[in-house]
Amino acid sequence: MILVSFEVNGTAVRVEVEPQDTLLDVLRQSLGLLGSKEGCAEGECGACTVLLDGLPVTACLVLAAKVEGCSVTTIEGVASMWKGEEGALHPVQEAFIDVGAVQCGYCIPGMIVSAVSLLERDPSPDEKTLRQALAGNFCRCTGYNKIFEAVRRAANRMGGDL
Amino acid sequence: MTAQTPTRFGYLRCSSLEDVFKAVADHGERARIVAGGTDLVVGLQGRRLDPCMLVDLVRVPELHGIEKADDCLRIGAATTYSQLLESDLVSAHAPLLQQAAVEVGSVQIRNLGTLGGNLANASPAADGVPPLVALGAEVELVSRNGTRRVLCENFATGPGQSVLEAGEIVVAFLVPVCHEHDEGFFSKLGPRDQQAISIVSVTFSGRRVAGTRRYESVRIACGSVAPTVVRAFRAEEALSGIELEPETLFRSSRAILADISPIDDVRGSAEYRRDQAVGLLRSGLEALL
Ligand SMILES: Cc1cc2nc3c(=O)[nH]c(=O)nc-3n(C[C@H](O)[C@H](O)[C@H](O)COP(=O)(O)OP(=O)(O)OC[C@H]3O[C@@H](n4cnc5c(N)ncnc54)[C@H](O)[C@@H]3O)c2cc1C
Repeated sequence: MILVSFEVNGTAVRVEVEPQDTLLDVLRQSLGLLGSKEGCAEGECGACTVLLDGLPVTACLVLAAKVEGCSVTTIEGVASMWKGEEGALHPVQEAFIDVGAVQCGYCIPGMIVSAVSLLERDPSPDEKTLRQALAGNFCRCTGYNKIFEAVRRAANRMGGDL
Repeated sequence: MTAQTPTRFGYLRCSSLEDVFKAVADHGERARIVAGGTDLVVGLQGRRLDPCMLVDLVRVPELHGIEKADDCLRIGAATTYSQLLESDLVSAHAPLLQQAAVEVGSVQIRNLGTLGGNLANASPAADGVPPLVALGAEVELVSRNGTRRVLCENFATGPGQSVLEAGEIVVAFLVPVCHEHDEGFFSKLGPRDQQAISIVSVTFSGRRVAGTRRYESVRIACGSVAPTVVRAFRAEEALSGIELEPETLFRSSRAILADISPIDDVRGSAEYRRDQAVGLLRSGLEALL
């Protein structure tokens, strides 16, 4: 067992992990954060996307022992990244609901984490940048159009002009 | 270094090269180096590997940073694709590396995967390696016994096989900086645009003779068409020093067929790969000219 200390959604945590445990295992099993999903478990589908020190990564490929001293943001922490009212959703989350971008929902936590990260770096991304930023998040229901529309709408609301 | 005493698996987080050498010496064949983990963890999940001691070298300072020294860029082996893409030094002096980096995996993979891991993994489909080969880059391999430099094109010896010796670590790349008339392209054919393993890739680097359609110092590297990333010596020769008019370009591009030995697999047939290698080379050059 290895003791790992890191920050999740602004809160310091200390967990015991096995060397082969992934960050996704720890988030879901030890910390009860069930928002990040396991899809393919090999980095292809993006359903487990979280921010690691601010950068989107697939949590299924990150060994838990690696995150010592790091800061992790999951879908559960996305709302508080935005300077909204207490308890309010992030504009990207709002836009996904308004546009109807969610069908089965399994890919959506990862999709939203990737979209939030994109808009933090580039508040008004062009179409190519938008598609590239979400290329590592697979959705098998929607055909993506509604998802892209939701991100564009969120960019608008957040002050970018997309 | 935080040490554990596991039965089957262990994990050591190293913060110096000496830590890494010690871990590898202590655990011998059971030691397994981890950088970004994007190749290794997939192997762990599929239980194809049975490693006993994971030796994480991502926090070793020598493996980080991008610097310009004389006529070379020195790029630490633990540099991620995202870091390559953000580097002004790389865009000024080795833009070919960025052309390839942006085509690796997805944002999530580019934030984790490292150039050193790509080379060390020795996959014939590696996308980070062909630009290193086409640019004539060397890799610095360090062990307790000292440091040696190997041309990146001589590193891999077969799929998953390389000249890396037990106890040796990939520490940095030395990439010759490009000249003002150097041009090049990285062209990858995959089943989709992002998040796709190369079916074929062709990378070209050459020095344009000013005001002409001629190249000198041509170097071409191909991925997924041989047991390792290979140089296309015949094509280099055929395309060097001649005016690349549509007719000569068409004929000379076919020389690449003598350099490659593709196989049939789930991603494409050998015949398809041969056709596509010629096509990628020709259309890449047409776009430059
Ligand atoms: C979803 C997905 C998509 C991908 N897409 C692409 C793609 O488009 N193109 C592509 O080329 N690759 C792709 N890959 C493969 C992988 O991301 C790259 O090969 C990456 O560069 C590996 O780097 P890493 O740091 O993650 O390596 P790791 O997994 O940490 O290590 C890989 C191997 O190299 C060894 N190693 C690592 N660093 C060193 C070192 N410094 N010295 C000695 N040995 C070392 C390890 O022991 C291991 O055997 C993809 C992977 C996934 C999961």
